[in-house]
Amino acid sequence: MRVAIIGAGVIGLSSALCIHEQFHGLVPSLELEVYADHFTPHTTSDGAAGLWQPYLSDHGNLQETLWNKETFDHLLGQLQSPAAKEMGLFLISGYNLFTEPVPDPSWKNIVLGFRNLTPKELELFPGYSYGWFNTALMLEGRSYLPWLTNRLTQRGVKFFHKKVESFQELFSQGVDVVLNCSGMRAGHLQPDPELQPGRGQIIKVLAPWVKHFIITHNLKSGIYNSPYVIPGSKFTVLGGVNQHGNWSEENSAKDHKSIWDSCCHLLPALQCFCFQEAKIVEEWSGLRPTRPSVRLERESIRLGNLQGEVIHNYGHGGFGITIHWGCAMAAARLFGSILQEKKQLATPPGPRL
Amino acid sequence: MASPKVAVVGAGVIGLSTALCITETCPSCSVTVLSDQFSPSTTSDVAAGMLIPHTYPDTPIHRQKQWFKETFTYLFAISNSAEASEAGIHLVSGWQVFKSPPKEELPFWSDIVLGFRPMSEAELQKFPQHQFGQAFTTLKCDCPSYLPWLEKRLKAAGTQMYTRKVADLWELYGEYDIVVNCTGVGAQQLVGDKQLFPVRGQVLKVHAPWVKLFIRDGDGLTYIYPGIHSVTLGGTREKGSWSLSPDAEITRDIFDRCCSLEPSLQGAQDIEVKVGLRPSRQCVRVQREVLSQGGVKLPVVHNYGHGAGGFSVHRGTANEATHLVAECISALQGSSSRAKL
Repeated sequence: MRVAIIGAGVIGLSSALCIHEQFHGLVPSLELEVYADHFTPHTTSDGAAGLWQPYLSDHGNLQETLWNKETFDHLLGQLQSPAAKEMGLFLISGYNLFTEPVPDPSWKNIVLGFRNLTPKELELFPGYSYGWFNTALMLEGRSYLPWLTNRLTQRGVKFFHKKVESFQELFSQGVDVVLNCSGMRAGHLQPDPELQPGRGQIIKVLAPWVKHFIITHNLKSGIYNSPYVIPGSKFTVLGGVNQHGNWSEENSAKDHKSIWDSCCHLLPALQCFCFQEAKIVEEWSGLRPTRPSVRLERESIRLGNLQGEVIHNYGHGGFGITIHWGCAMAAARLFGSILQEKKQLATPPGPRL
Repeated sequence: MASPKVAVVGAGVIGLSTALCITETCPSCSVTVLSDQFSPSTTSDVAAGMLIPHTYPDTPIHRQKQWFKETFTYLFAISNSAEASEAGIHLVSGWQVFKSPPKEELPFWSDIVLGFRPMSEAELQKFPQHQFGQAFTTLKCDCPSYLPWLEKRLKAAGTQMYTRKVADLWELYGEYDIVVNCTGVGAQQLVGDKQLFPVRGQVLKVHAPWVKLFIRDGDGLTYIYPGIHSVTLGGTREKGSWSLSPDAEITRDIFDRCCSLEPSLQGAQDIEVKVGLRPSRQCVRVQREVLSQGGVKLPVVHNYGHGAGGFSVHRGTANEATHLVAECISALQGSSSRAKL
């Protein structure tokens, strides 16, 4: 039973791990292969700051809220384990800021210690009159992806640096099931007009005195189109751009200035950098694989005499890390149902007739 | 008195902040800081600099609260300015956890720190040995940054600073008009204050930059305070010990206690061990005294005995000491006018 995972970002690697953990003991012939044109540290997941936080509203998509919760609870459980540091996993507290009162988010009871901001706290953020404080998690892609890769390698999963052009290409090689975790480039494998880039740009600085995340919200411009500051284990990420439909992965000088100015305004302590551009460690742009909802479903592909099962798992926008484990588990469940149908799962021996 | 000459003895957080307050309030004063130690070799440099007050048994609570409030307000403004990183002042959130119910549900400072509230059940699950907890956001004064920043401000205000061991306050008579005694643990010998005693504290400063939250056991003995360049792990409270030598067994014990609160610390690197002697007293001595000897007088303002709470109240006691210095100046001016008659 050959399973190919297309994509080596957080979605591809975690789905692969989930499937291997759950089924390698049950399916002796299980062989997993990961195909990707980009591996860590060059994936979209590597550019993300790694803060666990869903969008403000799930728009009634309870399934996504459940996947977010599953991910948070799973990670929280890993926090005390010796692996946490290697995974890039740690607790972080911080602020969400608004210019007007907003309803509580779907995730208020998932995170720790969620509460509204006090007037004194709001004094820190002139221009914002309402906000939340909570403790959440960071899962840094640049540590998590190598950690996942190591776990997979230990389990005998093979990696191929290759751009897959079609599902058929893999089926014709004898692959039985394909996990499509191709993120932004899922459209190359199968057109999907609902999948659009949400271009982001970030500036990384060395600002180790910043201990909280600060996410501002502008309800008119939309999620992540407003300044944010997220401290990582080494560097602090400044951002605040989410340009729908923009496919450019080049850093824009205009966006740089807007992010820089707005973050320095938000956090005056950063102004000490304004005359020391040398303290900018890195600048990066990436494309959030944005979709009205995550595509997580099975599809049977038939082309001539080629047949295979595809499990789609893409379109996680700016919440891939936040939702990844719940989706990986769901993908594993879909895989399990494929196995059931193919009678690949060993059934308990029945009475001989 | 045209330009009162003020000597501040001691260059820890108390001495430097008091000197700075004096230059701010009394621009005509000529202020000089004298100390046998300067940063990074002061007691203050060992401390984590967390704004979590220590309760002094014999100082009225309203006075301690006023000191803390003034300090918090002062540092809050700096943390929110372009000077924050140079001054080493930053906000930090975290938890104080208790194995048994805390003596006070609401400490006197709970409305001064930010967002003080009991910890939720979910948060307490991280601490299986602890049943109660408080969550809040406070400030940290990072050493080594804060003291050098104070020194820089002092130099800009024209303050001179000299390395000098003052063995007797009378040494300064004639050279200076007023002496401000911020000698911390040194006051025991310098002014013969038997009410002052050291409480030895050993800490580890480690590299663990993924630790963003502070965790403190309500007993005050075990704590994890993330700073700018290192995380301070503590600690001990050894009353009466004058030893400045690190103890390897204590190091092991501190590390184990902190790892049980935060297991990821097992991966901490570059462990540096430091020892400081908290200049402890039942009440902080912020007081005027006029020393008298052979017909001459030396006005002294004492500002020492802050024990475990120096950073938490430093600006407040500096303000109070500065008021006392102003009183000394008035008294000197009064007596000099009388002398003219």
